[in-house]
Amino acid sequence: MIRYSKEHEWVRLDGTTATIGITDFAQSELGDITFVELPEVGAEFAKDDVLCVVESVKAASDIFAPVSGRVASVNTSLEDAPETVNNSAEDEGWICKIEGVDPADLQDLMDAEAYRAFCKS
Amino acid sequence: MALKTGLYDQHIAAGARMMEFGGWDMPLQYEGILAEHMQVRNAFGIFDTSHMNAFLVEGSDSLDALSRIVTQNLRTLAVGACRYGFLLNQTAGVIDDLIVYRMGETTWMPVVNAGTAPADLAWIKAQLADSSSSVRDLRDSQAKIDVQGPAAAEALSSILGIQTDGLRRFRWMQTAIAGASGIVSRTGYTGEDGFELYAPHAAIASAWRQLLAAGATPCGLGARDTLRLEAGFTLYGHELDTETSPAEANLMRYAGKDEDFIGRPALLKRAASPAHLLVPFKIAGRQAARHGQNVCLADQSIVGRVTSGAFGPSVGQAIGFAYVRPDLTAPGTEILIDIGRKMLTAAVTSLPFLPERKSS
Repeated sequence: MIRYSKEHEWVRLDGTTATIGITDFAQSELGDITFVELPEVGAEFAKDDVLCVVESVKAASDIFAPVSGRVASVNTSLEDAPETVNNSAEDEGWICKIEGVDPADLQDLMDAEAYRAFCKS
Repeated sequence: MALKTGLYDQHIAAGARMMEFGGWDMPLQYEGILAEHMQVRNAFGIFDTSHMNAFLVEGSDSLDALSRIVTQNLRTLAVGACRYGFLLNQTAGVIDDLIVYRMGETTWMPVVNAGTAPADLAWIKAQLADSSSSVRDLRDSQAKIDVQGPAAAEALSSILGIQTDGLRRFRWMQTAIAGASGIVSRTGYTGEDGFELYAPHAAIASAWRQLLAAGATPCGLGARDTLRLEAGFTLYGHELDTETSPAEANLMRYAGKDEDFIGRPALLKRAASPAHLLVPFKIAGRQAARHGQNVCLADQSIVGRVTSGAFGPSVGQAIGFAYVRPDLTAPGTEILIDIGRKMLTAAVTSLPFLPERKSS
């Protein structure tokens, strides 16, 4: 199940573990990404906390936790190759996995169709 | 409502992402800042710089009159050459930085930044009031594009039929540009070999079209900024403004003429005891400091302010400029930059950020 937030994150839930990244729309808006400040493994986040920071050439953007939970792993390949977020935002450019997620946290997120409409509005 | 250059429709057609800059609606990027940056470093790219403003100063006493207004030594500037310098106010604050072209014995073309142009023109006009010289705006009669990169000379030759062999840095020549009479100078803002082309609007639009049709990479202000930062060039509104002088900006070599000019007494005082000094810095990593962030020491005391910062695509790490306390300017000095959630460790360095390259 993939859901999308109004802050342009995507969440793929697998049991109680969520994989999180920024959407293809978001990477396109940000432009060339030059740095991803990954969250620390083990850190706990509440929904809507600042999870990490994605920097493009022109600016730094906060990425908000779309669900509550604890960081289980991070995509360390982004440290040397942040451009992966531009090239594959919703797959290889994932940022982190969060465990202990309550599926109810995803209820107010959008499905693909609603998110597409949201981006056009 | 932002102003549009004559190339605006071509930018939109090319899919540019636009931004407001200095009152102008300008391309931020086309394909992407990094790709455009690397294209200029490795081959060549083209820039719409028609937002910049050229003036014409002329009159029998223009050498003396303009010498009072700009920091350039105009007496040693030959017809066919151009030189970088400043317009200073009475306190040596920088009204603008500019290049002055000597067009003839008593004819000069100052070229200034977009956002400051109206104030510059008013200032120059006021200072010329008691002279027999005059200044006029060339905005309606000409536009400008830049062709920059190691392959720029070859591109001008093969695409536009403009031969620049023998044209040295900071020299200009009169030439046909897309069938009209124009000017090409071997100047730029990228740290690469390159040219600035001045011609009537229709000719510049035609030259731009020809360059695009030949496969040239259009570059936006995003790449222009990373290129100039890596080259160690200051940007008005960031490193320079009316609160700063060339003394603090380490640019006295462009204001050192032995002749009186507006702001000189104040400038010499400021140079003798600067309150802060501009330093280039490097950060170990990709995360960038940004304009306006505080520079600190380990004890959290604030000792300066970042004026520009970005990931340097060709340097491979984050770089920037900051004004810091004068005792902190030695290369290797460790400084901290408060980026909000945390402190980044940076080291004062020396220019250039990039290894010196061959230039013509």
